[in-house]
Amino acid sequence: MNHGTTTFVAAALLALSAHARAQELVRDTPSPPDAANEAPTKKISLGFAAGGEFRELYGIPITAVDVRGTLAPLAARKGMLLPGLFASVLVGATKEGLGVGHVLVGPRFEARSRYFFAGLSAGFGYFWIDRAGGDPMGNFDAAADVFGGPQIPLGHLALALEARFSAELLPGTDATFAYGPGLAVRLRFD
Amino acid sequence: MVDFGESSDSTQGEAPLAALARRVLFALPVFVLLGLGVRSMPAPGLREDEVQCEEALARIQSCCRPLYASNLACVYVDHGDCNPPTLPDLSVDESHVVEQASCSDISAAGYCTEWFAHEPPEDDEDD
Repeated sequence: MNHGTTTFVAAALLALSAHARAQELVRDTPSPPDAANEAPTKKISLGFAAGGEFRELYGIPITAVDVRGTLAPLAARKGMLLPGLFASVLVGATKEGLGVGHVLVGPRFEARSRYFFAGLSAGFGYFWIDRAGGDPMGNFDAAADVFGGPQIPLGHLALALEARFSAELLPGTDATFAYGPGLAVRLRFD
Repeated sequence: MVDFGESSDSTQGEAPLAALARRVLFALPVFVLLGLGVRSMPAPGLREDEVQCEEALARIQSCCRPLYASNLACVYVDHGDCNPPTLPDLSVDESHVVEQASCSDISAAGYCTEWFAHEPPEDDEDD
């Protein structure tokens, strides 16, 4: 099984497990005596996003697909700000076709209004790039994203267009940033 | 669809099994991701000369196809304090030149003959 397939399988499993864990938490957590006006059906907000990403590494352009899941306990909301977690799997290729990928997890802070959302996230994980013939080379990865966009509320769902700009710090001998924009379609379940 | 055991009227006997299944389902991706990370962790740290050399090598391979890259190495090897390291065959500057060159320029520069000394290996039935 190659890297791409493996990472997509991992992302799918992660999404399934997040859903299962969320439902478990919902069932195990007693309801407050009187819910707020918004009265969400679940205690956890789940989101799934998939889209295209661009990166530049040492001046080499990279195009990629990013799949990410988000999870946020609605009880932790402070005004418009909702803290949570995210996990991202990115698979792509350089201009000359070398495979590139990352796996990241980390905290995420999102501010929401009815039709817009925006926020910041910080991820930690691993970044790799395939050699032309041989094993991949890689590095630990510390990433920061700024994201935002419009959303269409559909009951307890929201369909959103998420634009983001990401910078990934790759420490080491030639420490550098891989950075670039991304655009994704996001579905959120509250 | 996967049933996560949400039905409220499940019997007492089913609950522990369902809970165990949910926990396994929750833990599985963590192990998959850990395994994936370990698998893709040959050596921490990227080097620009290696990355640029690999990109240049991919460019050469695409231009010189179907000839096969046999002699060009992009791996940095540290031999310790007493011996100089093995550097990638292409420096960062050389790699930049290759990445921006046309295929005809790459061929004219001799990369398709100098580095690609023979045809790609087909079968191991030479004799």
